[in-house]
Amino acid sequence: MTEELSLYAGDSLETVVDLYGKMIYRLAYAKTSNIHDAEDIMQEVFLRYAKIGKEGKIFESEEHRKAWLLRVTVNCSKTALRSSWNKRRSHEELDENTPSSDLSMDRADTKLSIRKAVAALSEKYRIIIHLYYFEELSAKEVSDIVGVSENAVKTRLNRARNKLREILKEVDFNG
Amino acid sequence: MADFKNEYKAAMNDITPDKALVRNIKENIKKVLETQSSKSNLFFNFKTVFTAAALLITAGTVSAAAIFITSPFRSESPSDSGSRSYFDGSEGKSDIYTSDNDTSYNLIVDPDDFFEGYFSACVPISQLYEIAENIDMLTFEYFKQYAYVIQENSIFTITFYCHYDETSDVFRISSDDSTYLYSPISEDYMVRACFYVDDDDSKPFSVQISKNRDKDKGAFDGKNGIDLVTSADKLQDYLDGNYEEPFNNMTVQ
Repeated sequence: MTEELSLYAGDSLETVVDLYGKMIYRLAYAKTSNIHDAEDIMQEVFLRYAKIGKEGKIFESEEHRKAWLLRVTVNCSKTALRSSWNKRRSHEELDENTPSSDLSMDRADTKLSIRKAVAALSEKYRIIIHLYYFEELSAKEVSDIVGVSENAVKTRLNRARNKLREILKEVDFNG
Repeated sequence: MADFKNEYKAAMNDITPDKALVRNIKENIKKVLETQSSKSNLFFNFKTVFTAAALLITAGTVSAAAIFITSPFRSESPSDSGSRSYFDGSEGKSDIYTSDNDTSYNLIVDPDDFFEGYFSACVPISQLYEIAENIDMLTFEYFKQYAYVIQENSIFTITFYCHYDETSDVFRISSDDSTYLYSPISEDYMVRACFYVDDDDSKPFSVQISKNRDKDKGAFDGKNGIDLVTSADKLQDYLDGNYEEPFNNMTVQ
């Protein structure tokens, strides 16, 4: 157990950024639908991580650390969304902020459609969609991270699916 | 939706931080940590605060009355009593909550005041979660600006007056009991929260954090929390779309 603890305590910040940077960035993007916010949030999350590391806090396991990072990302994203700037901002920025794809136009269009469809959901649905489908967390795990009951997660997931079906009814998924 | 999962993963895989950003973050973290290293003793560790304050209480060195009398920071006039105003979410601002039954201060207090005094204010929910979820790494500054603290025997109940808005969609209450917020010291502390919709007519919800809570009892100490459980049921109903009215009757303590 001591070895395990020292493993997590001993990870350099650079290692942790490399390990979890994309995860945090994507989650922040899923929550805010904005690349610039995602960048700020990513930095904020790692700053907090650095602070607790400096205080000697040690995670019990890799899962524990991942859950902590996800949770803090969710909270930082909420803070970002709460700013008056964000409240005024629409999702119109999605197109110009999302990266272009080097795949075929159809494929790129499908990806953009997916992102736009999810972005069209309210943020409480977006975050659950992302954690459930992308991070492949269970409803229970999502509930722990987002801070809602498991039933609420399932309810929102169901509603989000229905909304997505409606939004994406013109998108043809193959395979 | 099976295909949606694959398509969504493919779509989100395109969302990656660029290398320059990652490099900048690493550099910024180093700079911040270097800067902080010279300030590391400025803040209180929360556990230390509790321990120190408990000793102070035992010694009988602080009383609530003393706090009331000596506070130079009281920000309400007597004519303000009974009015309520709520934190607007802007950083660095703490509107004051007052009622006829308690005394409210906008204090910068000492740790011992934390246990004997009565403080209340409004707190943005973002900060609330910073408090609740990172409770062990907080500076004491957070608590003493926003907490309403009651000590009953060995139980410390800290109530935050907060508001809900459309982006703070975090319901922490399960249907039959309070919810534990994640904390490395969650075995010693419990957080119970109530939330409801924020609008012009809304009232604050509360979060209570109790120390040494008996988990088997399902409540803090038999006095606090009962109303919150009832509210939690309503909240779940609301969450499920089955409850239309705002939670205007939610009571705290």
